[in-house]
Amino acid sequence: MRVNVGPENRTIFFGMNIGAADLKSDSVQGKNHFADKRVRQAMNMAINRAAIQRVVMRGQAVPTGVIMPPFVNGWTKELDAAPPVDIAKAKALMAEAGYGDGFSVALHCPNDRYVNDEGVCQAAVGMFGQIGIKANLVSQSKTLHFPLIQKNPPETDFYLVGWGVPPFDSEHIFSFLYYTRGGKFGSWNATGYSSAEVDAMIQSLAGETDTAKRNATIAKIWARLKEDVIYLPVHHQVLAFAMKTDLDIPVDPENQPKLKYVAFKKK
Amino acid sequence: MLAYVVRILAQGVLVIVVVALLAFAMFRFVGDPVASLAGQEASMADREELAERLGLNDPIPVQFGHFLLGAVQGEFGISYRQGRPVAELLAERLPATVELAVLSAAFALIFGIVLGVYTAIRRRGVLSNAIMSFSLIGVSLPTFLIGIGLIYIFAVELRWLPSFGRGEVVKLGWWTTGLLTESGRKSLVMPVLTLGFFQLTLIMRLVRSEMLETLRADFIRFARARHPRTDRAIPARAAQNDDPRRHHRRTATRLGHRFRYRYRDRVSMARSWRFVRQLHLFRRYSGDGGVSDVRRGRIRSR
Repeated sequence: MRVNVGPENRTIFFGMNIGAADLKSDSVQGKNHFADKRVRQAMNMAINRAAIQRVVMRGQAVPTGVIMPPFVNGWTKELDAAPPVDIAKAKALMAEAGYGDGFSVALHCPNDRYVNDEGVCQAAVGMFGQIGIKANLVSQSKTLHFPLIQKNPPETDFYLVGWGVPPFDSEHIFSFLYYTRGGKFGSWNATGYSSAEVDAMIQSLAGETDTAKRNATIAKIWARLKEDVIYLPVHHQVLAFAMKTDLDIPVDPENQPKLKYVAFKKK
Repeated sequence: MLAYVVRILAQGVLVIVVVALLAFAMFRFVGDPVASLAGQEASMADREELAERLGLNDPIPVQFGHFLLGAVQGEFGISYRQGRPVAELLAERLPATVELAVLSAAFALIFGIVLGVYTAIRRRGVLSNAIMSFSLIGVSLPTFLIGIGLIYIFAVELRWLPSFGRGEVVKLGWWTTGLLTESGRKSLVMPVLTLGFFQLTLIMRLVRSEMLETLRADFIRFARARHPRTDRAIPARAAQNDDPRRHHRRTATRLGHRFRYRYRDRVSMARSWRFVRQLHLFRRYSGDGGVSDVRRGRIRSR
């Protein structure tokens, strides 16, 4: 048997409801702790991506700090860097935000969509626990999980999702995951994040023909989004294809093997 | 008598309503129809419009009422997976279903009767015993397993017959038939064998036991006594002269039952066919990728 391993056009990350005034599934009344950027920063620091890569993914993942795979237009090494794990600093941020005692919240996760998706969530539950966040894991089939995110208003406060970028350009990510939800945009933005400034910049990308100028805007948007900590990136997914020894099918980034690349080898 | 009929009908209606309710309820728990129909890159506006058009914003009892009303009129709504009217999908597959059902019934009937008569005449023959032992396989193996086995031998290993599909079909008005092309006929061989095998063994065993009973009957015994030299003609007479009220009716009843189950078997077979298809990666993966795949929504973002 032959096993080919390669990167997929997909990044796995956590999203949370930062727009609502109060959350339904949490222990804090009358407030939305995710709306506080310090809480999001603390959570971002608490995720031990290297441990998830090593233990949950058995090495087959690329830890990241941005929700786009490296071959997408707009990716930079700086964006890809995740904050180092620092539990003490994360706890301090939580205390500063007024959540020194922590809080509990439901975490929704698919268990049949991504590579070891449930395992990633289980590991993350322990990591968030270290800074006092008790995440109650609700792990279920993708047919039940995704509608929670897609419904308007969304029915989840905290969730795991993965995103691939078929056009290989940042604009795809922006308009689906960051643009204010409504009308033609933001159908996968269940975070409630809404910034008129960012929306305007995303709009301008569609009509900009000057590549340099367009890329500059993309960089500007990413810098702003990274600063706002809207999502908590985990890793870029890696695919493994297993096949008979006399076939050689390279891993396709879209997870759709193409017959034109299949090679036949003698045994 | 009238009371009995009314009672039975009322029970029937109750069962249908309960089953309809279950079917209706199931779809509310297997996920969001809007999500599966609209695709993941649909905008919020598209999703809202679709939900409105499907009537998903109505109260649940109203939705169930629409569902029942549609169902009694032969209107089954649209498939959440294919986004096309279910009635149209059923009609489209009707020719294939009927063709397959008739052919496999004919196959089972012809071979079942011939082999049944033969094994009854040569009760202790080596070949008869071999046929009887072999027929045990047909009785005990589930249809989908026979299907997978045949596919493995004739499609994967020997490559004689196609593993799925109908091959080339010829259109005769609204009817399509696979009987007029070579690839169509080839595609029918394995499904017909698979579906017919179980019935064949069943019919064969029924015919055989009826034949044995008749061969013991008095008129056969007298016939044998009177014409000892025409021994060989007698079994044929037995098969013909058999009391029609018994034998044929029993076999015919059984056949009717089998025909009813044919559609169900076809569904399970289609599943096994698909299973093997997935194993061999041939169908979807010949796509060229790139822009056209994105347009068709093949590439999944989330």
